[in-house]
Amino acid sequence: MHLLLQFFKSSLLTAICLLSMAFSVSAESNPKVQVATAFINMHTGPSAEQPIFYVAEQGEWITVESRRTGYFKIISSDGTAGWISFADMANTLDVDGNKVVITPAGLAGILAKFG
Amino acid sequence: MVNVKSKVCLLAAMLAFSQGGVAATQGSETDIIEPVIARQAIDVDLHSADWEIGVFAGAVNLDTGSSNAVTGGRFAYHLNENFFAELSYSETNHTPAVKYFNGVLGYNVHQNTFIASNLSAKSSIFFVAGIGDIEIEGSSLNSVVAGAGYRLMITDSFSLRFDLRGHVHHEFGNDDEWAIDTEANAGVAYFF
Repeated sequence: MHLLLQFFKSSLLTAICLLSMAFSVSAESNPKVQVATAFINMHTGPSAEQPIFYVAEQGEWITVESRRTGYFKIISSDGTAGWISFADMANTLDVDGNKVVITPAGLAGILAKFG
Repeated sequence: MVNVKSKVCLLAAMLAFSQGGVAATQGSETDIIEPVIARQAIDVDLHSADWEIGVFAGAVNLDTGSSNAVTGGRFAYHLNENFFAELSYSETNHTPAVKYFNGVLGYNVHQNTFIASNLSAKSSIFFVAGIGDIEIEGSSLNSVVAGAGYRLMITDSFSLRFDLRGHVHHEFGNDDEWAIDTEANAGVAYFF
């Protein structure tokens, strides 16, 4: 009986381990894209008014974190976080080397749907 | 001894799980397994966090001259980085409560606020203008709303907000005279 309980406990532990492994794999879902233009300006915030403080170079792989209106938050290959414009994001390639497909958000997105 | 037992059990459990995997692959022994070389392209077209929801509390100066505490909520959609449309509802804490319904269009001027030389946060000063409805003692008054405020982004999703607003309306019970209710409030908001 005691042995059975031990086996059950161990099974549970193994199952949890396997599950956590599966989850940790799916957690790495932030897309990576490659800069396909000479450079991309990185702003400190999601607007043109916020200063450009860094650039991502041609060929560099950047991680896309989140999005706000016309801007994407990215992490450069050296770990610097910044915001790039929709137009600049359109100048990147996905892992297969294809141009990324992005649709505008906000008012531009609404106009694109009905225009 | 107990330790050894538990180790054996863990091994047995792992074996049980791994055997399941082996059995699954053995079934398709005759098939040629083609290795997947190309990595799956992950969609870059992320959801854009353009919606803002928030609560606020402050004070409103009624046209009768008395100041009252006011609490409320707001809901906004950011059309682009500069323009946003916002609906808000607030009411005073005295009875009968005066209720304010506002629909405004706002314009953001973005900047970075430096709290220290090495600590900064995204922020914006914004101006709003719109129309509203004020409910006093069962009757409603139309109003024109204008104001300005300051938004400080604590994180990419949470913000602190400070708003100043004026509600211009006809005097209660006297359509010939104009009155202005001034409102000041502070609140938090979440972008999603």
